[in-house]
Amino acid sequence: MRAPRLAKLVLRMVLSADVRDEVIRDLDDRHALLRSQGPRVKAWCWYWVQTFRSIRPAMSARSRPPAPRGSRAAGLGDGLAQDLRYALRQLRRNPGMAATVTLTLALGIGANSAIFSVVSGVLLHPLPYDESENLVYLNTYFLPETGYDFAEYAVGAPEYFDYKNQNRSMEEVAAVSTEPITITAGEGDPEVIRAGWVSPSMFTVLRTPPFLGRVLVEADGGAEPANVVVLGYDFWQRRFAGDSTVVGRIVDLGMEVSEEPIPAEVVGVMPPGFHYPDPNIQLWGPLPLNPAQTWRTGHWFVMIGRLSQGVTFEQAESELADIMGRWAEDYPDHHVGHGLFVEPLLDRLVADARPALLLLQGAVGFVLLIACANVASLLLARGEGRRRDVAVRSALGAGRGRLVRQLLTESLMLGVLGGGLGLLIAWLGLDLLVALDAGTIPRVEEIGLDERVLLFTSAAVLLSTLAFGAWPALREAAIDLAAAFKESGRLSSAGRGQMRVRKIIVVTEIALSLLLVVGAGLMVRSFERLLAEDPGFQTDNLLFARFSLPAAEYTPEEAVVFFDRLVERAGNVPGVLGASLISRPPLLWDDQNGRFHIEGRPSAIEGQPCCVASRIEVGEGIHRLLGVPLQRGRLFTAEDNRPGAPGVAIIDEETARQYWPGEDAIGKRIGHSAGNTPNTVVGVVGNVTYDGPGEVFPHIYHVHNQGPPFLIRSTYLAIRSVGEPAEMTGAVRGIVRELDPGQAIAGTYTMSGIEARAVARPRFIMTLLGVFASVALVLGAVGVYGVMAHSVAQRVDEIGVRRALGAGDREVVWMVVRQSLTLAGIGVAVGLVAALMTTRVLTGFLHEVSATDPWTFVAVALAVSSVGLLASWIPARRAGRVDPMVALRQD
Amino acid sequence: MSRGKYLGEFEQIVLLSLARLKGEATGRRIFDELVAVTGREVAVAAVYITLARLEKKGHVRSAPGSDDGDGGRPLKVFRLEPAGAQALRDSHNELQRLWARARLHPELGGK
Repeated sequence: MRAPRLAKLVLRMVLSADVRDEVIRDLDDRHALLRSQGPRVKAWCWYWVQTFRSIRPAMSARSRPPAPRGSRAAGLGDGLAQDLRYALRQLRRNPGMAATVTLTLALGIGANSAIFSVVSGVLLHPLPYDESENLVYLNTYFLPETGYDFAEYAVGAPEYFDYKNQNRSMEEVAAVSTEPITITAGEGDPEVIRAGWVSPSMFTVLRTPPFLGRVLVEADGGAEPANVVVLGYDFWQRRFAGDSTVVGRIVDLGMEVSEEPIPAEVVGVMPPGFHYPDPNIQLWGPLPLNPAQTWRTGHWFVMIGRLSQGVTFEQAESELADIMGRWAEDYPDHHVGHGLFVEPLLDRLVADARPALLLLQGAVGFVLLIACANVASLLLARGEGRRRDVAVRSALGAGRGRLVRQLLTESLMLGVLGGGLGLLIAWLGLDLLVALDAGTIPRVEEIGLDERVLLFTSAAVLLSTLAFGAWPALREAAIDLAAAFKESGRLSSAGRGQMRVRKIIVVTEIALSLLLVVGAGLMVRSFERLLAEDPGFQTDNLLFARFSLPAAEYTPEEAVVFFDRLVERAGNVPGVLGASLISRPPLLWDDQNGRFHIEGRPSAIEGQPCCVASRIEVGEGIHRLLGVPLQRGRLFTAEDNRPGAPGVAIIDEETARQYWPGEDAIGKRIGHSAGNTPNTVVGVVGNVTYDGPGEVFPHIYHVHNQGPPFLIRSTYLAIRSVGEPAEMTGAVRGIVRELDPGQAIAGTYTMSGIEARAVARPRFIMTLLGVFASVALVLGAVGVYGVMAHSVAQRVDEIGVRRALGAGDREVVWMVVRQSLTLAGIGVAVGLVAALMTTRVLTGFLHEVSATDPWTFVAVALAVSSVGLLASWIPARRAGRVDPMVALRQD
Repeated sequence: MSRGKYLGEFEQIVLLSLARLKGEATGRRIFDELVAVTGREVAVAAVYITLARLEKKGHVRSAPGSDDGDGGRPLKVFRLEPAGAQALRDSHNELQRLWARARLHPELGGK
């Protein structure tokens, strides 16, 4: 047993520098001697006893009055205990102020720590993989010159192999895609899960070893991969009760795209927390990748890679640019304006949430600034009342530095109290924050109060202590002794100077809170606009149930029969107004991909479809069910459902507007891929905002039965009910059980739930900005109130004289109100200018509202002025009630 | 005698221990001497802290001693200063003066 490390640490902390080394060395030597002589525990205990016994003499040596003035022998530690005791006494003497300051700071610091926890967990935490900073994400893009305009598109096998072979930057690359799979093995009903269909190299890239068995290896992959799977930890626990003999067992995988049943051997289980590429992935299997494939138009997966040792991201990026240059030369018909891009994997995951989180962190920083301003103002006011106290201490020989230090200690104590309470607020607020977000923040599981957050909070405490404490401390300590003893405590020149500073602080507070309120106001207006957007269909009482029939069990024809029966029976359930099929419920996800060509029109690239529109497979009557209006032509009929019926399509207004402007689209023929028979446009319907509120994009409807096989097996049952749609879930489940006990619903969604999710992020930002703005406004109001109340108290005799000279209640009240209106006016003006300059950062978050929306600015300016007016009301009333006799007698 | 020059009890014990060691010793020898003579249980740190204080008051002076052979930095050697000796004497005299009066009390040997 070596000398106890913790004890030594304690000694280092309590002992002053002049004796520290010598004492510890002596103790260590004695400890070593004791240890060699007797039981080690005895030596250990002796060391601790010595440590405890050292604390008292050490502390009292530190708190002893400092050495004679001018000598630097007194260390910083000297007098600390004294300062702390004094500070505690001051706080106890004025508990109301201590509580106000602590609460104000706690609000500011707590809100900051909470938001920072999110920022830290989501944006700053490394991904849970070894040397995760070297991980990158690769995908393809199409520039508009290609005829498609996709910022991002999937990768195809030739692109994957070419890049894999040609690059020198990556240690390893991997292909990653996902598939829904129906699982019947293990416990419970059959269920549809999400599986990662990946190249075995994914496990090498992510450097994650298995929990049980093995991961996929190179030999599992290739053009005809082995039928093996690796299970996710949660799935293994849930479905197989954590049974370790699962390795080696054969499970049947029902897949949409495979006509054959796939019995696959379980070769391993991944550790808890491993979910790549998304949190819902339950198992992984090898993705078929054929190095011999040459046709470059199939794109169906994304890529990840790990940078080689010593290769920077920039180097990889520039090498990729070179490779793309070569591809453009080698494949001019495919790789001009189309190729791979690379970005850090972490960026990829959080890019979407980053602007919102940084915006919130910035906004909440203003709240802390306002809180600090408020506290500074309070401390200045308190300093006023303590001038005599400070003067006495100064007269007794306390130097200015000593006084400032003591006052700062007091501020620091307030800061620490506020910070502690703030952490509690942050801890309580975090869950609320995550719940409020409704699932739009990635990596939520990483969010928590960790060391980084504690460090941040400590920094916030220190910085705000300086911000709110330094100025008052310097002011208070810079005391003119003669004046302090002479003056009455009111109406002093120093007091007036103090007042000016406090007014400047209040103006700043008003300006800052106006800034936040304008931000919140803009978000509220934008949110209103967003909700007011016409979705193009009736959103009430809709339920969608997802189905994904395994190809091994259902031929396309059998799937058609299954869905026909399902729709028919669902339509007959009491309380159901109508039922139909749709491959994509509105607002559930955004997918602005999909291409088609128009018969007789030249294509941008030879043999490729020219035009962009999302395709949606629907059952008969879906437009009536959703309430999408027919503009021209006809809707789908039972006749279109007949096998062998001629291919038809319905387009929406946006498609008609973009591709047949000033022309009638009815009767035109369109196709989705080169080989297929084109479909005839038979109708034009209203736009539906599938991709999100207010997002108009061209869509083309096809008859469900006429789609490709995998689209026929996978679709959503849409139901409109009389009452609460979620209550229909049980009935639908019952029908499925009757039709095929081996099938499962892959998920149910009510339209109200989908809508809430679609606006979750703007709602999150709006709510938080609203909360911050409210806190800012309240703090601002408290600031105005404090300054006005203090000002009235200071001017009591002036007011008394005025009243004695005949000023009425109203004049006196007006005098005070006018003063506060002036302050509010200046604050509002400054805030408006600041807002005009800064609300631009909101542009990306605003929907149909300008960042300098005049109505919002005017309304907020009025609101903030009114709050300022309200805050001065009580002091004004008090001024109005001043009795001239009492006021004048005070002196 | 001014208050600043008055020696506390522990200060006196430390100074006396140093004096017993011929006025020149390391902290650890002073500690050992002190424990040996008084039989008190004392914190090692207390001795060093007191020595540091006495040095500030000018009662002792420290200097790096010769290497103690264990390879570490040489230990501080404390020397009793004339002022320290004077303070000890003053304290002793003061106590004696006080004792002289106190002896009038019957339980302290008074007649």
